[in-house]
Amino acid sequence: MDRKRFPLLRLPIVVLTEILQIMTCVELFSFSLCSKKTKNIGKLGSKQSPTVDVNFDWRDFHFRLGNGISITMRFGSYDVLKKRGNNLVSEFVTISGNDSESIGLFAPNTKPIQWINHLRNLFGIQTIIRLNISNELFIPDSILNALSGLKIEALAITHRDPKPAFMEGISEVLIAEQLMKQYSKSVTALLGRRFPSLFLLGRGQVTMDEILICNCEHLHLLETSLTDKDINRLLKLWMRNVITDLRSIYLTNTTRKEAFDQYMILDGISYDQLFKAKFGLAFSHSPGKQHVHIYKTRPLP
Amino acid sequence: MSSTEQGTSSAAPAEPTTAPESAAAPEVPESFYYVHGKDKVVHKVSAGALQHSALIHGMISNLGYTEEQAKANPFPFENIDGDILQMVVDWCNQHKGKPTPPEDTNLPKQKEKLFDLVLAVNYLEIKELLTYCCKQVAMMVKGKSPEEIREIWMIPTDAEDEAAEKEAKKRAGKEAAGETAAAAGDAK
Repeated sequence: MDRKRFPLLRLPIVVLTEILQIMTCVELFSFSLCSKKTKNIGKLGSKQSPTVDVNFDWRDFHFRLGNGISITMRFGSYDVLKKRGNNLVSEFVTISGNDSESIGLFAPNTKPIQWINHLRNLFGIQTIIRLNISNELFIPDSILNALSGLKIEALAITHRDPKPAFMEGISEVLIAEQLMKQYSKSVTALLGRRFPSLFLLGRGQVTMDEILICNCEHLHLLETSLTDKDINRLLKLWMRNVITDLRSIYLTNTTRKEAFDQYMILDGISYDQLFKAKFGLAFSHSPGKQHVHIYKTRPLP
Repeated sequence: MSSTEQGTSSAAPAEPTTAPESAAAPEVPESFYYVHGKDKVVHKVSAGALQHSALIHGMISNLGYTEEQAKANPFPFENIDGDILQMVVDWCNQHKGKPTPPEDTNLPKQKEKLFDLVLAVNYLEIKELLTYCCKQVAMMVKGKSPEEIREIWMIPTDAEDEAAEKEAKKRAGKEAAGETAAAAGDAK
């Protein structure tokens, strides 16, 4: 035996499990990257965390595991992003935990999907509480494919404006912009999936046709640019049970200059109760009962 | 067999005549047991200290040894090095009848000793000491990268694992071939 090192894998499995369970998520993650064997053994140490809140933000992954532990993966930094072939790659990835420990890994040709799958297998994630994809580098379709088989309770897809500074002056901007142009197509594909709640922060990218094929119970259209007429049409179709599974709609108008026109929206709509609040619009619909919540609207004449 | 009566000094305060609290409530004299490791050096340990080891505690309960019988038949732990057993006995004596603190800084810092200690402690089923040892092992890789972890914990790379697997298969194949040849020879 090498006298200066510790042959961990020669320990009995009970002891090995206890050691791995003492380790933090970040340490466990580092350990799992040592080899294929440690990737499998690492599962012994992952505490029960059947649910996870995932946020694919800007250049980071934020994983908040069900047991209160969070992991953030940061892909490089703006000044080290380089063009390699047609891909944007980062020179390293940093992984940090909620107790401010972190490790930096050199990982050229880093593929976010690989990391998602690695974390998913290591921590035995079964349910995603909320999935937020807000970075053009993380393509919604490929992320959702990587997460297939997992239960997703809520989904948010956003993109940021203005464009990220590091994209200026490099050809990948075109790819990103093309992706943005294809964005509504991606949403159409996503809407076919079954979600209890769907958050769409599309800045006007979501069309009426896409909403009509929506297959979720609670729809959140944040930053919508639907016109008052569109909303009225949507409500009428909804009340006529054209959209069968939808139970509630929530709309906010942060991208619109003018407030929602309550008169136009509710034209021809029958409702049981009308609630007033500060922002946006919320409609809930149950068999034989409709509740309309009006937020920050122009007053009825 | 060489014999050094370790642990007697730490056991002394438990004697009815020397313990200050014994005046208030006379205690039953503490019984002692004997253990030895690979080096055959016998260590005398009080029953109270041995309570930490679920294995030895179970052996004592099942065997129902008297002190004379215990002296004549020390528990043999041939798979544990003498110095490691000494460490374990010392720890048991230090923590006899005391609540175990959350941290223990007296554990060996040398990795090879710690490895042997972990194996011994796991074998003797000393739960608290095993937890301390496991914490110490986990601390080795605090803030380390996968490459450093691989180095510290002697984790083979995928290529090394594959090579070892191939080698093992080859060896198993050779052994199987040897066995069939021997069986055929026996049949003749």
